[in-house]
Amino acid sequence: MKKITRIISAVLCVALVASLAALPVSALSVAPYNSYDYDPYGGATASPLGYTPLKRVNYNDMKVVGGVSSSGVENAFNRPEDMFRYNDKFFIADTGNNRIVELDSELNFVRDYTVFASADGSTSYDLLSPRDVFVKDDEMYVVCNRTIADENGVNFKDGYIVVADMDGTYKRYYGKPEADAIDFRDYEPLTVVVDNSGYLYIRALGVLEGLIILDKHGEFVQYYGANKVVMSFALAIQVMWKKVFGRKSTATTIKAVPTEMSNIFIDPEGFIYTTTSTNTVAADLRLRKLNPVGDNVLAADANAIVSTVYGDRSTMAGTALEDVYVDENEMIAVVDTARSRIFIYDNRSVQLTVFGVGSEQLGGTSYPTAITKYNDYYYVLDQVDGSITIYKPTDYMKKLLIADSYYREGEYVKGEQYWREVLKYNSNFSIAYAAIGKSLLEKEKYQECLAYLKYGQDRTSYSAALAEYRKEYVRDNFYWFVPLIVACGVGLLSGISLAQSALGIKKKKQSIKFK
Amino acid sequence: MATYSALAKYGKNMIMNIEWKKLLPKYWDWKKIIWPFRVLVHPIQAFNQIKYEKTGSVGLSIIILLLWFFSNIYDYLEYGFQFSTNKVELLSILSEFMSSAMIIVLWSIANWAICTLMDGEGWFKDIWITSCYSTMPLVVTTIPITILSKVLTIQESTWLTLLSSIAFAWAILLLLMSNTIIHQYTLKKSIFSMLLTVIGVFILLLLVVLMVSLVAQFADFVMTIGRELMFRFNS
Repeated sequence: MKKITRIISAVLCVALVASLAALPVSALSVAPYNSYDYDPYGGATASPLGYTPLKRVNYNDMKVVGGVSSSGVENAFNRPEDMFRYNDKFFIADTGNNRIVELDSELNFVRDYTVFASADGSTSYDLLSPRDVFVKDDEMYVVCNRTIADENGVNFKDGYIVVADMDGTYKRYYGKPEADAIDFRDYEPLTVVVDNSGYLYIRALGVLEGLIILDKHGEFVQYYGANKVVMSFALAIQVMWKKVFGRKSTATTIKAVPTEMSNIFIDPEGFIYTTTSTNTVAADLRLRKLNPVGDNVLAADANAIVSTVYGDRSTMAGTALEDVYVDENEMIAVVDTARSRIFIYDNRSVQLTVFGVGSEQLGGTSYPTAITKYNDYYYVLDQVDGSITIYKPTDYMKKLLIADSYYREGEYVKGEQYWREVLKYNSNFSIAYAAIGKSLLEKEKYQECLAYLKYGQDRTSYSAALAEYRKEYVRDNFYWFVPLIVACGVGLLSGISLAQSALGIKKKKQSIKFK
Repeated sequence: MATYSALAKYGKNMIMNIEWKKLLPKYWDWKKIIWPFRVLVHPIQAFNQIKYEKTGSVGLSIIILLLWFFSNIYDYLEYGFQFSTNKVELLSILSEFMSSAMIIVLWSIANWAICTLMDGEGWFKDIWITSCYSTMPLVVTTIPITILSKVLTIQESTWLTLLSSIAFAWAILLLLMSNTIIHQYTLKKSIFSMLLTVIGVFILLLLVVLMVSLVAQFADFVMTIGRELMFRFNS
């Protein structure tokens, strides 16, 4: 008997060890970060990883030719500020080396541009500390900056934008815009985007009136889409003190001016997205989508109970949004340099996933400064060493992207099966429940959809479903419904009357006596 | 038709023949139990009788207050999903208590303090009982409104607002009547004293907060001295 128990226990031990060895490797070995999304009450809930690092490509892997890094390494980047993808070409603004580097789709070095010269050689412009590169319709726009001295020997910034075609032949030049409305000494353009009608939207340092719009010929059109000054209690107090102490104090107090934007992006439809990095702007205005008039049209999360926040919800760490990329499915990727993370939002401002970490490991970046997307992969440029980290979507994210694109098009029924698969990965995801609920509502399964809409916190649809379900319920149960109501009413009234008589407190009718 | 009326008469006689008063436990004063409901329909008469015939009960008024408190919690938890963003985890019993039962406690104290100075004739017991009985409209309507909110849509939310504001106005009116009758005030003086009472409630709250912070600071002071002494002895 003892022997048998020993054998059994030995077998059990072996089985236990075997099962431990067969456990799946922990998520940390896949990526050095965790992902989360927010429930409608603003609580962070853990979610499966949306994007995992594929590889990091540095200047050695790219086989970069020319250029010296800030630490003196040959054939490298020096503090690159921006990255832009045009079809299957990547352009990196290698700011410290005064050049634009072109990479192919495999991120191999193709060529670099240090000067844009016209075909006959009559005009040429050096690309001095290029801050941004933008390509549209086979025309390359490069934002350059130089410091020159005026007649008194005082230095001032004089930026310019040079346009060339794809082989580097000079086409156009946009210097400092000249108009009555513009009266600034230093002109330091940082970012440029070009819309479908050829207007240039220029973000320049210290221009608080908004983006500068130039037409194709370089004529100033107007300012556009400045961040609005939000009235706060502190600001009101400040204004009050200014009123009390008069004009003298205005020189010493801080002026309430719009916050500068940290980056701009134009999507294929022509909407301009702006990011603001400082925390002085309201958290729901850190990311904006501007319509042609300059109003913010980015929808806030309709089902959320707390107000929408782009970036980090906790105020401890701070958020510094530095770049934004919006793909053709209106998936918004925002780079937060404060903690080196990338937030993915859909067009309803629902945070789908977050990835990236501030570390040297694969998957981490030290100072992410630009993001772009190519073939479903996100490419993040690290300013410190000019390396590009490629993130690939997980199976969960692929399902989620399909499901969300169906939702965006209003094809709730078609998307239902994908949302159900998303739920298998992430059963805490409230928008999946809301989407399934909407699909069931469209299929007229009212009783079933109520539970889903409740989990999904979609109150408007819940109300609509409830109206239908109520109608259905009353119609089905009409034969006993009306008699029940009548019986309840009669019972209540007669009960009160009986109780009054039984307890002897029934008011006796008094006849009025006239004397 | 005749058979129905005969049947109804028979049934009524049957119920009336039972001696209900004897069925109730002896210590149950049915007249006192029925009084809060009488306040709802005949407030002036009922308040007068509370004052002069002592038909109110302190125990019953505490039960009413607790019922109001519990119905508020039920309201918080079970209000129709389409209207409420309440969450079980966010429910604070203390704040629910402060916003329901505590108000009446503070109101009674402040009202007694003010009206004693303003030649009011009410005793504290009467003030307490009538203030508690004045919350009857809220006690009676809160749960039905919550149940109703489960079946109404967002477009029909006006009905809920209407019903709950009627109940609230009714309760305020009862409070006004009780204040007028208990202290034998004119209407004008009654309203004035009620406004003063509201200010008194705020002063009471301020005193409570001051008291709490003072006690906390004193405790902190004693603890610091104790800690310093321990450091001194340990080193």
